[in-house]
Amino acid sequence: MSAMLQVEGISKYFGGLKAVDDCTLGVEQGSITALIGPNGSGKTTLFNVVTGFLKATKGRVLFEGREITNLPPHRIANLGIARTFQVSSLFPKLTVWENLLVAYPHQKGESLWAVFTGQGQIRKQEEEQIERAHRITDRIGLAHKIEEKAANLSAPEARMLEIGRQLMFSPRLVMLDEPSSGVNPAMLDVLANMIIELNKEGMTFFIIGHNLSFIMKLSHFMHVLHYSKLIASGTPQVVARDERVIEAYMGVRQ
Amino acid sequence: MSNIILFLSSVIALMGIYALLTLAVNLHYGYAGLLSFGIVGFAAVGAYTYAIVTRGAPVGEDVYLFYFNQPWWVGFLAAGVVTTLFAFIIGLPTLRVEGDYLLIVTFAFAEVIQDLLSNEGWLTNGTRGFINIHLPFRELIPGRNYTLILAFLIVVIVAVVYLIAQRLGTAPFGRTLRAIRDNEPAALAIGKSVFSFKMRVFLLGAAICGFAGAMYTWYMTLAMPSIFGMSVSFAAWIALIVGGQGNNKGAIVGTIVLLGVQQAFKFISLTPDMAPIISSIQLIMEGLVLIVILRFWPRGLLPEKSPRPPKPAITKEAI
Amino acid sequence: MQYAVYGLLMGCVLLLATVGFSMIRRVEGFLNFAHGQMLAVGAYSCYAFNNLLGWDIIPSAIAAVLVTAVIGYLVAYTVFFPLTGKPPLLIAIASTGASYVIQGLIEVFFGPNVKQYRFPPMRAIKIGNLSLAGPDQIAMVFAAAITVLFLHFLLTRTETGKAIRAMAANFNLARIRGINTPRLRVYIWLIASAMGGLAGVMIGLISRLAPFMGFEYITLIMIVAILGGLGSIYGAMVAALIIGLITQMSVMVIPPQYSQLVAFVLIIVVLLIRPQGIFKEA
Repeated sequence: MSAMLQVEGISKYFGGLKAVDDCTLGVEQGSITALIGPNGSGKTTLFNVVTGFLKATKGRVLFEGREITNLPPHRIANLGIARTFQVSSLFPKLTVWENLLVAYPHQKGESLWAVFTGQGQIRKQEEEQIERAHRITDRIGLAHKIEEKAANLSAPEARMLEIGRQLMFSPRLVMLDEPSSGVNPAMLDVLANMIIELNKEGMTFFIIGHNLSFIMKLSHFMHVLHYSKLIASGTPQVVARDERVIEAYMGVRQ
Repeated sequence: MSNIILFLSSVIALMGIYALLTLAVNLHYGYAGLLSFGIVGFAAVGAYTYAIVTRGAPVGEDVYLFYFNQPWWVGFLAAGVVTTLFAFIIGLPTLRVEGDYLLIVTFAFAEVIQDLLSNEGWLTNGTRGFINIHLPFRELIPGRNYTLILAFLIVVIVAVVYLIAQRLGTAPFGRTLRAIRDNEPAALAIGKSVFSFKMRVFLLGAAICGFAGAMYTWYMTLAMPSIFGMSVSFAAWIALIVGGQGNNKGAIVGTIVLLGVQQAFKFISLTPDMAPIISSIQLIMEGLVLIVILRFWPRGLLPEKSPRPPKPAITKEAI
Repeated sequence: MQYAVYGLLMGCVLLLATVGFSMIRRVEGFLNFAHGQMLAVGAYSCYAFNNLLGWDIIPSAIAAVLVTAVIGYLVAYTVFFPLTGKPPLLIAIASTGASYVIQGLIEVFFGPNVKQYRFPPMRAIKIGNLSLAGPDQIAMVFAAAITVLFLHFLLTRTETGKAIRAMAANFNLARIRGINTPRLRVYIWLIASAMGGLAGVMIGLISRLAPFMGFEYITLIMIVAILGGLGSIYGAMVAALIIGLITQMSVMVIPPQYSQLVAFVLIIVVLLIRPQGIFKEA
């Protein structure tokens, strides 16, 4: 079993507090895998450990067979893993346009030297990326707002922009932290369809979800965390009937 | 008539030097969000490096350890290089911490530099400092008209630095910096090596301060610890805030306004015995004016405008 | 041994000054450069009462502390309160403006020269061969200790104190819960400024007064604040004593002008190991 993303025995303790306890799970390539669990069960902490924002207390994380435990977050991102944050992942004072353009990898224009000696090359690269960005803004439905500052977008627009940015970044694994939060039910379908489309095009998704109906429709496979421990894994149908899962969620209304 | 021109040249020269400092603060804070309060420390390092590299052996009662007797442009370059080195050493531990910690450490750094320069009598002639600074092109233009040349030289350098800063700002480099400033975790999540960006901006800003320090010695014809106090760092920040943080034009405008006001005060100093009182009153007025401006015009005179996003060069064909 | 005593005294001074600074940082959220000026105001007020009005040192000191508390609050009221909600950097810069004003006023009223209290230096108490400290210095340590105890008592036992801590932890929540935040804010400024004033009075006793002393001490105050973990009151106390002792006792090994450098190197080292300072920002 070699999942694209393999979490092995990951634990994260904050002093005496066990945020994640001996968690082992996998995300298969090409799947949409969900990570669910009641509030405070450690989902975001797990995300943070996997993506390098927190150091693992114990355990390993492997991506495509290669160990990435405790690598700095930007290195992990450059290996092909993108992630969003529960609070906004956008750059509020940058425009929609800039939010997209900032995301393509290996920008020649980021080198001090090149800014003064390689103007031609930079311009060429930017023009290519501008083409891509155009296609993306059309796809996410924000073509009319490209000069708007990201801070002024509505919640669903912001979420779409976050997804659009993943496209610019072209990762292989996209980890979304509560993508449905703040999105009204009408837009949820649009969002879900976008994820499904992108998945068909080859992106693997690992999604933290709180809105169970949203996430169950969407995912091929689920892992359930409860009080820092993994209590169930399986397809949505199996997990929905798992007693421990039902118990964990009892009293938690969506 | 020529007296007025000379006086104006001298004012412009000083404004130019401070403008460089303010531009450096804008690089640090406006571009990268770094609370860099140790600007004057870098200037001091640059100034002293220039002085040490360009001077000859100690004479009279002077005591100092190093001297290299090089021409002015070697000293000038050395000022930038040595300052960058210092900035690198300071930056390594401090750029990893955030906000207020960085502020305090950079602030303390500048104070420590000033202390060291005052106390290390054996190294840098202590509080007496270095006089008779070697000035560029001085031999070519003896006499008072030199001030004009100096002002011209400084303005040219300011223009160059301004253009550099602008170019960096509109390049992807500047865009990524602003992203880092806006939301650092998100920048990390798209693979930006945040520390490297911060360090590069920090070094660039520090180098500019180092050059500015060297130029300050040209202007003052001396280098001594007492002219490199925290009020210089404050002045650069105040100029930036007043002019409009985040943009280079604002930096220059703010500097001109701030120094203009200060120089106007100097004019008012009527008699020698009034001088101390006037300087105290000047201090009070500066503080009051600053407080008032911050209260009523906190965005400054030229608030930051987002650089216009690159117009899509390939306009989308009608859908 | 002398150095240890002096270190303790310096530690007490820094403790009083920095705790106030940390309180303001915690509750108001900005680095108050003008806090250093509270030391100057305290010292010069004491001077005014002592030298100019001819009072004894103790009433002068007490009066000075009270005066400083009021002045500190007035500065906050006129400069900082109107800026509430603005970015902390802006308020910090405003505090440098306030510092200039205060220093300028001190220069105008008292002149630019160095001053001393009209208070005869007292003989140190000897134990055997060692001269420990003068009664005045012992009184200072005592005063500092009492202040600390009082503060601790206030913060942990009284309703006011608990309310202050709640405010420091989460301003909006505290307000919603009905805590009288405007009034508490006043108290905090009064207390912080008073402590700064007391520190200034003490500096006047062990050292001398100069108009720039506000800026002279702010660097050290900020260094102590980082070391103790920004915003942590108890951290500031511990850090103050540590820095006071280390900087003075290092004089035994390193020449005295380096004391600030020692403190600086110390924070660099600490930052490398533990970026939050000794105590976490509680």
